[in-house]
Amino acid sequence: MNQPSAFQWSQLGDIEIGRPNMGTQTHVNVYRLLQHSLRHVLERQYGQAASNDLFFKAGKISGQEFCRHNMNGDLPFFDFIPHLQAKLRDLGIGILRIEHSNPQNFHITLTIEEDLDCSGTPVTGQTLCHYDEGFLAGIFECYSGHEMEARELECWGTGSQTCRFEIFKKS
Amino acid sequence: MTDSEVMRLLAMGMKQMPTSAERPPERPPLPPDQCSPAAREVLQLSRELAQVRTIAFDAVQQMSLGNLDFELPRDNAFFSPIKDLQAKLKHLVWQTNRLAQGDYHQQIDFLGDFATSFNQLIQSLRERRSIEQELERSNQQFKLIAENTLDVIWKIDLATMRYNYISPSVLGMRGYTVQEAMSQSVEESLTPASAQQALTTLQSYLSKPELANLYVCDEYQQPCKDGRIIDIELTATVVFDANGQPIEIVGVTRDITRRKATETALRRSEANLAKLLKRQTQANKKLNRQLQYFYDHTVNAIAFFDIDAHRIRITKCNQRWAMALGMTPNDVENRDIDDLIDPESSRMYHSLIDRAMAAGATIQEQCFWRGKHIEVVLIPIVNEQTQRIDQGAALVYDVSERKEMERQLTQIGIRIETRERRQLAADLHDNVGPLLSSMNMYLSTLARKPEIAPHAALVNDVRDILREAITSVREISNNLSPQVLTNYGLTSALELFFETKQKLICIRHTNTLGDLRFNELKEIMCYNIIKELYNNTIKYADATAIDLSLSQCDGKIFIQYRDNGKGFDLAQKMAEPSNNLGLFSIINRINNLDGTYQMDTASGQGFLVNIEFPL
Repeated sequence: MNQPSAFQWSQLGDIEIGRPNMGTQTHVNVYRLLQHSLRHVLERQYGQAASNDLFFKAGKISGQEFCRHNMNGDLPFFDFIPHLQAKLRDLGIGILRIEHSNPQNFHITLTIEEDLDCSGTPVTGQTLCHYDEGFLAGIFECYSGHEMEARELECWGTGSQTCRFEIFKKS
Repeated sequence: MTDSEVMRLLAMGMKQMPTSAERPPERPPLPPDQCSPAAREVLQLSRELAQVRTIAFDAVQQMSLGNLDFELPRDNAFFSPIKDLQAKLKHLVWQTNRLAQGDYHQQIDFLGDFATSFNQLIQSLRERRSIEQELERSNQQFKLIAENTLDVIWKIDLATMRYNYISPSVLGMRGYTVQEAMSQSVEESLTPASAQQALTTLQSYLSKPELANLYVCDEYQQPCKDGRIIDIELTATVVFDANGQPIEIVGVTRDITRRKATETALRRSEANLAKLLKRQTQANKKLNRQLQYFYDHTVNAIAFFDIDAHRIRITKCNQRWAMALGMTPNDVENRDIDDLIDPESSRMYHSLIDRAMAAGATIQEQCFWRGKHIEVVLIPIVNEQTQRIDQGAALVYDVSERKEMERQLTQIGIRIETRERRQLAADLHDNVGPLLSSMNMYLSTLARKPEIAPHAALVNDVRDILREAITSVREISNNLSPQVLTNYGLTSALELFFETKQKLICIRHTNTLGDLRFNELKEIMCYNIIKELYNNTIKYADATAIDLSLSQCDGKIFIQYRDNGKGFDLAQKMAEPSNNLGLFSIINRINNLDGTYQMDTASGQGFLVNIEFPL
């Protein structure tokens, strides 16, 4: 398991009070601008591998906190999945579809269509969704209580229109 | 190979590409020197295109065969739609598996019309499962009711007129097992009369289509396994098929034997009750008539009233009551008693009611009202609902005449007693006294004789006894009819009386009457009252001092008598006349003097009485 994070949900602030007119939504471009510019800086500073790792770790913290504050972790596995699907869709993160699932060992293969991070981006020959990997691993880690790993198999960056992830318990 | 030959070969291969299902043959590598570099590059691209086409073809073919576990090359957007389709189909397979597991929450939003059909299918399955669950729940409830109710639920197949279902409760009701009951025909399951009745009802029911789906409820009789016949209440309806043809009778049978017996007993009881009620009503009417007659014709005044806090409102009164106030019953009824009578009388009623309510019982008391002696009987009435006294009845009768007769009788008695006392006192004084004195004289003479000398002591004892007898006779005579009272009046008689009592108790005697003389009978009664008060003090009070004061003013004599004894509970003593004759004798004498009195005493607080009476 990772060391306890210093991140606190309260740091997100009270958006209803803070943005009474602008509301809770923003443009996807703004989100991507932040992520890609940050990636650019990190790759320049630390190299691509380190940058990918940093995104994964950040995503994992996000996934854990997201699950803790937005999800009902007491649901049985097959009720948790539609609950997660609905959350990801409602928040505009992507359309989750399960290709394979084994609740016993938490080995899951899933796809995210219209992914917030990469959908529509040019083919670069590399997977782009390291933050998503961490995010999904964090969610299932919080839900299962096991340390989880996630790996992106297909991505818009590798020429696929659907991101495919494999999620499994860390050995 | 020249460029033109390369182009021809290329054209031929491309012509085959969109239509052939076969794999393109492997082509041998071309010698580099037989065509131009441009033609060679085009030929290489065509080979790669053929390869991509082959991979895509294979992938689609795999998918058409149901195999989704294949991998397509990365970094080639050409395969993107196939990968997308592969992902969606894989998800569809996963969803179908979940569906097979009974998870009807699956929805798809891809594959166009298929998604619509799939989602409709899921919705149908969901509704069907909901219906099945409802049906199962309903079945479970029915089973629970059928197996646990005391009533018997059953069905009859109209085609065969045989039971096709009977609930297990038939065992408890009739003693037959389900199998035994099912083996019986409908006729066998009812008594012959009931079977005939049931058949007639069924025929009538089936002949009237408008009765379809209506329940019929009737009473029948059924035989039990042990030979008993039980009364049943049967509720049934006919079930029709989709074509409107009757197919089954569904019914519930309830054992009402006990209820019927209870109803019979109840009817009998009701009849008896009606008789009793009639008899009672007649008796009540008679009683009411008698009471009404009494109420209207009695010489007593009767009134009923409501008591609300400190208000007394007359609700009903008879003629006598109203007449006493110079009014009619209509004038009096529904008015506050305070508005009808003078304040003194009002206080009297309030006092009586307060005491009756405090005692929670009927009280009877004599009062002097408007120059008349009346006796009031006050009956508090308890409200049955609140258990509080909020009503009362008063019965008032004039006892003036009786009181006057009593007074006259008492005075006659006193006169007779006085005369007899006086006669007895005179006899004692004039006859017994001289005789005893003569005996004393003779005994003195006898004592002087010498032959008696040896018995001098004995003779002296006899003389002492004789002197005591003479003194006693004188005292008795005086007590019976004090000569001093007759000759010198009350003041002298009391002085003489207390003279000999000072050695028993401290007596402080104040008398301003002097030589005042008044009616002899009154003097005697007054003397006797004081003597009785003194006797009570000596007998019961454990007192050490008596204060007596006599005075006169405005034609009245005032007596105040007080002791410092242990006192007593006056109310308790007054409630027990038979045990307190002395006290009541005093009160009686005061009444005979036409006097009034006020007593004040309590346990440990001595005794005080103020008496006044007219001269």
